[in-house]
Amino acid sequence: MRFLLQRVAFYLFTAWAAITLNFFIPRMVPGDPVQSLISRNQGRISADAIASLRVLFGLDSDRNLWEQYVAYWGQLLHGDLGLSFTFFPAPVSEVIGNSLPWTVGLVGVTTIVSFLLGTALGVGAGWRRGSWIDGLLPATTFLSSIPYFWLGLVAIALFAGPGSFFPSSGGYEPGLVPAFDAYFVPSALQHSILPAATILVSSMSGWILSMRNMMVTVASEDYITVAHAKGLSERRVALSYAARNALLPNVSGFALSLGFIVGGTLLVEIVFSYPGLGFQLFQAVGSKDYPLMQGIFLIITISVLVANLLADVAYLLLDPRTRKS
Amino acid sequence: MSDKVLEIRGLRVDYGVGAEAVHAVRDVDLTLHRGEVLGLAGESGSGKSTLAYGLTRLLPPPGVVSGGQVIYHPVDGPPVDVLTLSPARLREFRWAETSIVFQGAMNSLNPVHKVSTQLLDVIRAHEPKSTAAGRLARARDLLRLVGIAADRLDSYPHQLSGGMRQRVMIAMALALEPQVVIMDEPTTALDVVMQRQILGQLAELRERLGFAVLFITHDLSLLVEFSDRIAIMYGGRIVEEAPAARLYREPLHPYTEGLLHSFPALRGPRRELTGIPGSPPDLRAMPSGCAFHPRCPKAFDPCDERLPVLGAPGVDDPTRAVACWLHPAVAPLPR
Repeated sequence: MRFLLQRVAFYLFTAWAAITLNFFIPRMVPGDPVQSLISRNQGRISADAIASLRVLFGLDSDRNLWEQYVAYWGQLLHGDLGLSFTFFPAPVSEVIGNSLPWTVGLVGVTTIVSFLLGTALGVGAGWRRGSWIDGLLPATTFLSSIPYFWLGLVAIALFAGPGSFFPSSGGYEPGLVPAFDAYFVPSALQHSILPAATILVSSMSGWILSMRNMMVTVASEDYITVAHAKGLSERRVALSYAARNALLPNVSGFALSLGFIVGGTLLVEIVFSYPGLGFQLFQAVGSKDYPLMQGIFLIITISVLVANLLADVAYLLLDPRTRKS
Repeated sequence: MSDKVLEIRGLRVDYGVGAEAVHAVRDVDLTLHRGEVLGLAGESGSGKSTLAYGLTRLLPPPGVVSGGQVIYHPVDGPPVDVLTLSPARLREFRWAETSIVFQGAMNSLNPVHKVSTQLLDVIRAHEPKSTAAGRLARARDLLRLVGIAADRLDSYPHQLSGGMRQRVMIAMALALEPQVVIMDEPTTALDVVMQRQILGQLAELRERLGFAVLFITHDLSLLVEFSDRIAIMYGGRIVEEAPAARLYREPLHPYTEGLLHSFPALRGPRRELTGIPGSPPDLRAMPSGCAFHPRCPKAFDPCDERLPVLGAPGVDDPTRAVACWLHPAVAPLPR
């Protein structure tokens, strides 16, 4: 318990540090959205228009950095992330709220499926070395060394195109209204197949390989020999003794990978123009949309920290040696 | 001679197959009688542990049993050859008839399961009809048997000391009241005081429960005290076998003599410690004839050419056997 409280305190501190950095970094970067609008219009904007734009974006107040920082925290605690510049006047929280479900749905589900499938295959491959699963390893390792987005491009080139079942971009058929009905859900599923398959193919082999290697390591432990000598069933030895112990590093790896769901597959979303958070971040960077960028970074930071905490808790639950009595 | 419980006949264990195979155990014959402690001693690499793993079919690859028989005589029922049991029958046989206490006292328990889980699962696997309450009561009794408080059932292995862990392993080995307990250097990782305690306890338990022990160690002094009979292994073969006291007082094989002179006597007059010159043979290139001849101070003509067979050295003495040209066999090995 004490250990857990220490961890929580540590993560709270880290969150504070991350949020503070998140506040300062964009303000230290030269240029602002008004500047970028001016340059986009090649200076054909009148001084009045510039002034009104500054007011519009809230850049007119000449508060110092500290006052802004305090105000930022005040807003943050109210869940107010400011207004997006690109989607003006939509608030950032709304923009994020609209795109987060897409990312969590696509990447979250594929991460979980890839972990479960990869770990199960790894258990099989490690327990029976030299079986057919071992034959798959070189192929999966090859696929995992290919970046997601490139695999995505290949997938689009091969499977998408006019008349193909697989759409090459978007999250659903244009013209449909997002809702849980018989038109929207199948369309969303259809649009998610290619990006999901891309992520699955390239992320699964990592789980297979690490689980297999841990199984092989654990299989030579003395307590496995003892378990065999005890006359336990093969299944019980494989699952309760070998896999149970081999799982530990994979579980913490999994908890960490949950943290990267939000920001980790930016390129896949860009390749497939998928309406998720990564795609949004890409657009925000392009248009110097600070509030949106900050908002997304905040979400990524928090999810990574929460995932770390989850990894700690999972380890605490799975490995009694880490528990201090 | 008392009842046999485990007979090893011509057991051969190789590492690897074909011409490259290393023969770690060569034509070993050994008989364990009901309720006795048979000590098996030898240097590192003499094949002691390989023999134990081979006869229980727990050899990790590339180890293979390439010949021989391991006959187990159940209390009731016909004898069975352990080496030919089907996987399902082998699982039933394991632990219920022959349990093992392994070398690694520290690593024999799974670190992520409680002591109770590991003690109960073996009972459940072999006695599926037992009730949970019955199993728990049994586990408590077992811990008490080896002098550990029953509330330690809820401990994890890392919360126990090395000595306690090994005692838990002994309790576990006795869980199904097997006829044979194989102990592979059970106290090697423990300090001397703990060794004494555990061995004393073990002797007591054996008196009470009457199981036979195959005790494997490199520590001959321990065996002299603790076992009824001792077999000495060298280069994968048994080179001498005799009642413990006789082996201690009048060893026949020069190797046994060397081993006995490698440690100080616990009682009696002081002797000079000599040790054995040279090093154990390379299993990939065994010397011709008697494997010990290059290190033997008494080697003579036939030693480097012909292999001495294990047999009784005198007609009047069927209880001991030796494989040495100094004491040529006059009778085949008593079975």
